[in-house]
Amino acid sequence: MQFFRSVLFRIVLGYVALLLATVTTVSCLFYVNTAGLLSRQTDRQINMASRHLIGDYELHGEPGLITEISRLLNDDQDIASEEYLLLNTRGEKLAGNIVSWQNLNLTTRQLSEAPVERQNGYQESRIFVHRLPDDNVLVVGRTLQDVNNLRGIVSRSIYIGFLFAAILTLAGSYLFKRYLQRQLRAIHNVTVNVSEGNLRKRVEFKAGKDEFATIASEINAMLDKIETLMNATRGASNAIAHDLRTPLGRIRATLESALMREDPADPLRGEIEYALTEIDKLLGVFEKILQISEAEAGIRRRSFEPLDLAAVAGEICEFYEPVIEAEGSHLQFQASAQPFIQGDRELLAVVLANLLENALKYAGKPCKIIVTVSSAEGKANLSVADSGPGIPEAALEKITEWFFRCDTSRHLPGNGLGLSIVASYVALHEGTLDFHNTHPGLRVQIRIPEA
Amino acid sequence: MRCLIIEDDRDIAKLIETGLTQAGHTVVVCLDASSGLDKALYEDWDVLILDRMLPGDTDGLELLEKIKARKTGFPVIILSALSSLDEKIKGLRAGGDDYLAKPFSFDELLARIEAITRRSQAFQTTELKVDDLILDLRSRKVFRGGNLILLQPREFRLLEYLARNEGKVVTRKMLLENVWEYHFDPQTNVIDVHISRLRSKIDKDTDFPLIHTVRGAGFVLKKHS
Repeated sequence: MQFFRSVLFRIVLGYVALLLATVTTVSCLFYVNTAGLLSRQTDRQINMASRHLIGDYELHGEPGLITEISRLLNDDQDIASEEYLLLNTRGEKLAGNIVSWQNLNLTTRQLSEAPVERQNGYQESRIFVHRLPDDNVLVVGRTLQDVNNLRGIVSRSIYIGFLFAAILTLAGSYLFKRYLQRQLRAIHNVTVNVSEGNLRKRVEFKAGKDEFATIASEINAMLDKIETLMNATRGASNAIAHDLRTPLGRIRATLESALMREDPADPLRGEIEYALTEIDKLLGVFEKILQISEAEAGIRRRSFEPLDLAAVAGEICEFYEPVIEAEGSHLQFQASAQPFIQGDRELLAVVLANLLENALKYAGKPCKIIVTVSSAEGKANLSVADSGPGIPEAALEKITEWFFRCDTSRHLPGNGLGLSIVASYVALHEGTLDFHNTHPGLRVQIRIPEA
Repeated sequence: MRCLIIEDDRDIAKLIETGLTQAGHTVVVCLDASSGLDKALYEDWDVLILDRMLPGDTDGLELLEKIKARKTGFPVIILSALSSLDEKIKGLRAGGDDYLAKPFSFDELLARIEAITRRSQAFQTTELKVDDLILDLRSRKVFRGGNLILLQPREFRLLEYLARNEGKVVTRKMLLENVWEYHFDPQTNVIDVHISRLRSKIDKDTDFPLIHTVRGAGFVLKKHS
């Protein structure tokens, strides 16, 4: 069924059908113009011979006709194919080379096909039966052996031709399909890569002016534009975070100085303290944006070193276990392997800390959180599973976007950057990040190539 | 305590000056690198608070190297808008005793200044003692009023850090950096829970708790009385 949904399959199927229809038409025409022509010629010969013999009969009567039939049968011309029979009114043979006529329908007045017995056996023939004025019966025929032979040859040629055409068509359509698939896959690979965030990918194509080259260069131009826009956006947010941090820091310092000088009983204290908290939240957002852009710039990769993922995960679990227990929930850490990866201990700690804090915040209380480290197919696996309500399917794809927050969690404190940081740090480690609803619960799975 | 501040941002300098003066210290502020260098070399200081980005594109770290080349013996805390761990490591390598990313709260700075200036208990010691609390650093055993208290290794490090900074406020950030050696900013009260676990072991069944919470700042381990 999946075949029929493929445009390629439908195009190829159409192509095969069209080609076979063409071959069929050509074969039919060929058949009619060869075997058909020969059988029409046979009919003409029968008609001519009939007219000739009837003419002889009219001129010379029965004896003349008998003489002429004998002459025709002995003149070494067409003797293998011509068939004559002259019967008198009592049904006795007067002349001719047909041996038996009991099976012949002698009442018909049309050209017809019938098996005719001659000395060397039955022959499939075409015959014309004439009733002469003296009620004698004249049968003129021609064997269809040549016609049948030709028919056989033509049919065989057509079959063989058809077979070749079918093979060539199938082979051709296979090559055609493969070519199209290759071209489409090149584009597909790039679009998948780009949608996964690798904006640097471009479609490779041969120089030329075919449709694929045009589409490929248009897609590349579009990606260039998107990359420029993305960089501009990132640059802008980066610059905003950076440039606003300094003045905000000054405002913060001024407020804090004011707080120090103020009388502890001043009613403004509360407002100043509130302003400081809000400024700190804002600064936290800026800090996170800068962390993400730092990760995306890849600078941090220089400090990568071989790390024991299970050891780092164990440490962070140990660090968070008390606060999770204090909330009435439960944290379990399992390491079935001890994979080493190229990484940054601090960044991996942030990744796991973010995931644990998310589980604690969104999975409800009490919940059960299981952190596992394992190794499979050259990849180190780190997964965090909770027993909470999971994430609405529609939101799964968006949760790593900047400032994205689920409708159900908007009332909780947070800024929607935690998972963006996780995603950028995982990407920095050349890892993959997946979210699965496990009904109940959410499982976050990180795979990083082993060192 | 005589504190020298080399910082070109007047608002930040003002905050530090006000705060330190209120805490009873003597403060001198230099707004540029050259006057800062003069002051640092020709007067005596207990602590230097140095901004990394100074006017005229002077890197505070270069200034620090110049100062350290000719004069040592006072701790230095580096302030910087560059917050990444890399920059922090660079700052510590250049001779800084601590590194604080801007913007910061004054309490955080004060706690760090106190931690690097008045080391109340020598590092070479084998025993830390606060009232009737004794930490044996060699056997890594803890006694309160003569009774052995069983602690996890990490709890011991936490208590050791508090004891080494006896009487001084340590912030949550300082605890995470020094006890767990991580620099991120937890969004939950995870440090508080560790402290309360420790407290339940150390201060249990006693009328004289040693571990205290300082609102808005951090924790302090101090003698009763």
